[in-house]
Amino acid sequence: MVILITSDNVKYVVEKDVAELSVLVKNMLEDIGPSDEPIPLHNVTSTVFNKVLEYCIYHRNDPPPSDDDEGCASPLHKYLASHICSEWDQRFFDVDQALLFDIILAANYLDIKTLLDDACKAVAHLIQGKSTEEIRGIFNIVNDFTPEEEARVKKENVSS
Amino acid sequence: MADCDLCAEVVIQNCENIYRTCGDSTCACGKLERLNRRVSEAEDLLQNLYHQRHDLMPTLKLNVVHPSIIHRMPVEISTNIFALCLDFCTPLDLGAVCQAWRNLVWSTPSLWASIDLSFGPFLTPSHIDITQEWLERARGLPLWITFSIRGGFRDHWWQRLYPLVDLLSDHAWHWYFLDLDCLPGPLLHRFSDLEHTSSTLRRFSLKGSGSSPTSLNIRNFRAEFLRLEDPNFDLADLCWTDVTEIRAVLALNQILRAFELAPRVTICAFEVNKCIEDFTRTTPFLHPFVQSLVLQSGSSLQGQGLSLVFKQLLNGITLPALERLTIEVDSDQTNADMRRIDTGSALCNLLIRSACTLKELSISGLSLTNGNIIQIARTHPSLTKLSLFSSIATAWDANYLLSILPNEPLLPSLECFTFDSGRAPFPWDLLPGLFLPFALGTALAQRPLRLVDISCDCSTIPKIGSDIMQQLATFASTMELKMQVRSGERSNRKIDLLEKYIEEMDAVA
Repeated sequence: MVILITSDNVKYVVEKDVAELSVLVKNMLEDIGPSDEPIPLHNVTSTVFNKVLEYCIYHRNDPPPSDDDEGCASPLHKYLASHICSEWDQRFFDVDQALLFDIILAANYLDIKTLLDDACKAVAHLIQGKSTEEIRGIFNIVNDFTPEEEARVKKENVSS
Repeated sequence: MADCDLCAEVVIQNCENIYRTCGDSTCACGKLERLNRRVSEAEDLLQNLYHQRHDLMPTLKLNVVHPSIIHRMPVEISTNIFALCLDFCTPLDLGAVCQAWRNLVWSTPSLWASIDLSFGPFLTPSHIDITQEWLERARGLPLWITFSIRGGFRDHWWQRLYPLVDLLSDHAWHWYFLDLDCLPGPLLHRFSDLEHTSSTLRRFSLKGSGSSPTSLNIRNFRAEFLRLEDPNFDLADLCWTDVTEIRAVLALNQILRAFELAPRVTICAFEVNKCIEDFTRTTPFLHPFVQSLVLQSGSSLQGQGLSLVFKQLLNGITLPALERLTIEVDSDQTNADMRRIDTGSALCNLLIRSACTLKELSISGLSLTNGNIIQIARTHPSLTKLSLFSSIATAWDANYLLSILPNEPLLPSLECFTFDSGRAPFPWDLLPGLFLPFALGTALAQRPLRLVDISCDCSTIPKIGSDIMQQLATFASTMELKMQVRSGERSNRKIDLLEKYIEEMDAVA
């Protein structure tokens, strides 16, 4: 068992194989060796960590992600190669936008590649099939193009 | 007479109404007055809009102070999300959202490394400019180019694509994947007319069009991965030196030719689309490196032709390095022919002749008769994965295989066994024989099974003795065991016999 403490001082006792899905935790465990010392997770609150933990427990037995062809595969190729999202995952990521982005930041900090990839897919899914205006609405983005820039953008997109 | 109030001209005589204007609708003075009124109204409207904008400024400032959540992400995460979006939109779409997105997209070459160019007769000149800018934004990254033509070749409209092809050829030095789909012959020639071989090209895909020339020199495209569909030219026109993987839709003779042309190929997947009437080959061609082979029947092949093609194909090659073999024949009508033409023996002969260390074998729709499976199991103890599928009642000797298993240590390395007997009844009572330990004196105690997946169509639920089910339930505790029965008009109702048995036992308990 591994003891983890979130930034809001909530203590979690987690099975080692689950905790080690985080490369950050795994490296820390290797560095400190056998110890009961709790590991602080400075950048993750308990609200977000609850979700991270839920994901790690569900995916604890998944095969590790492969890095085949990573260097030269196109973004589309990478996407197609990894675009397998289960119903469970879809339900898991059906959360409000703020929490979804907090999960991304936590996965990035904890270095959990599969969670990071799946969460990014969930954000990409929000963009899928939406118009430019709708995307701005979803993410609360202000259209800051000048009229000249806007005209150029429209021209590019019509021609493409 | 009266003076006009606006222009002071004396224009109206005997004016009864003191209108104090010219009173003529065509008069410039009247127009000017109306215009002044409209200017005044517009100024009021403008002032009103300025006020509205002013009122919005606090909200705007709030947004600037608290930018969108997505803008607070590290750059590498945002670009990762953008990369995932390229499945359904282009970088141009993403760059149209706001300045921040545009700057990020424009400064991330990986988002521009893939370009899908699809053209029809209605071309605009801006395509070339946009493509040029697109390729420049990719900088020197390996390029994934898909180039396709739609809308037919009438009036040679595609000749207007020559400058675009020339532009793409200028970037041949960093091509990684080139997919040419249905290009007319001259355009294909233009593509292949490179000064230098593209040293970075790894994947080349070519779908033939009716007008492809019969002679074509595309030896410049030295790729490791080759995908071909209905090429209408001699395969020798391609460069095969570096090819290690090929996926192709070809005629029987072309498939056998591909084996001869590709000395380094290890992975092959072929869909057979044509039967050659006068094809004969006396000696099988030995390819020393092919490890994985998938053979599928194309939809255009039917009946006896299909059976003959597969027999000729299996008789035409010897593959000593073969580890994985998949054969998928998608036709219910061919089974009688398959048995008559004895494609099963051709398969056995290929495997025995090759003396390969076969690890995975998957057969669908090809009839295996006269103990073919037993023969393969005896000669290939290396098999770890065996999958047999049939859509109708065939002569699979499942009874024979399963009755032998308890007494003969066949398939000692078997980890995964998938068997779909279609409408033929499955001998459930013999299934425990697969799991039982081998007889004393054999090297292995029992098969290292991880997955056993049995299914069949059945109008009624088969009756299996409770002692057999008890035995199977015990085996299922250490591995994955599926025993599925399909029923209903379209076999759309599935019942897992083991799950049903366990539920019943739980209910009794």
